[in-house]
Amino acid sequence: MMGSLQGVLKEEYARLKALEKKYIREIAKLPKGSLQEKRIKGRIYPYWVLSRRSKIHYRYLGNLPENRLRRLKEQLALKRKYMSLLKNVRQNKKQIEKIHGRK
Amino acid sequence: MAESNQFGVLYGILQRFQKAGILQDLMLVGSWCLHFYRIEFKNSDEIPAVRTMDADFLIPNIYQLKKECNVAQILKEEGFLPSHNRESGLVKYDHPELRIEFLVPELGRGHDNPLEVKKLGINAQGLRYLNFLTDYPKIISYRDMRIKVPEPAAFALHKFIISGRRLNKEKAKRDLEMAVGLLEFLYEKPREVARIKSILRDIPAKWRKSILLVSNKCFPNLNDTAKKL
Repeated sequence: MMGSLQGVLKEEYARLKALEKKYIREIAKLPKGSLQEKRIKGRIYPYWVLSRRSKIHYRYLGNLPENRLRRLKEQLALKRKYMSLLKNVRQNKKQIEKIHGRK
Repeated sequence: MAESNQFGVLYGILQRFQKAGILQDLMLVGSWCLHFYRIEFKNSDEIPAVRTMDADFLIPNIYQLKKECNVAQILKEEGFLPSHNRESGLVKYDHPELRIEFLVPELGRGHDNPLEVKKLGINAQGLRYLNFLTDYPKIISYRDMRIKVPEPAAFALHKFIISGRRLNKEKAKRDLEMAVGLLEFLYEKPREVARIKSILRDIPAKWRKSILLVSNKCFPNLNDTAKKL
């Protein structure tokens, strides 16, 4: 039984290593920064927040067409999801390393 | 990597498939069935635990799919990334907790490449003997869902057949451990023993022979049952 468990762990480790690379690649394809919506006098003003050379830049997106704004929101949400999943991949890899002793 | 985390991800996918109206056309096969057998048999610990990251969905008949749905998009939204096999062209979907793969029963001469399932926007790997599982479906109700899995008896017997055909010895060993563990549990239930007998009677003689050849070494009770048919 232990032998087959070790086999599963070995396979899973290889899968996680490949998946880690894929998430990094997918995250790099998605836009950087995050979206902030400021409510001023009851109206919502969307801003794209980017960090460049340790400075925070705000880019107003109010003049962006509705569909492009929606697309950007979706992409940034997907990036957040991928980043959290990348964290999970790394945690799972560490767990296997602890059990299996792989470095 | 805890089973609860994995199940949470699988449950999310099952819910999405149900919402899209395609869950009824899919059968969950592979070791995740054990989780649902545990649910069906009131959380019995005697049923072996799930020990693989793969969740395999079998499409019993691609020509009878009722609804069109972009499954690849659903999986992407849930954080799965496609993993392409350059040689075969097969696409599997990976998540930190789970890997999802789609299968179809391979009939006749078979195919060299995976089968394109246009209605679902995916491709699926054709494998022999999967019609054994589709012939014995069982619906398990879980929360608000009705999940189609193979009957436990058919699941265990099928594992005997495929373990004998596997090139990967590690996987073959795992198949046998799963099948024996499950059969040991089923043999305590007269109703399930009756199902095992009935299935052994129904299947082609060649399949029965393959099963009994393997079970002779690791679960001789089955051979005794077969003698009494």
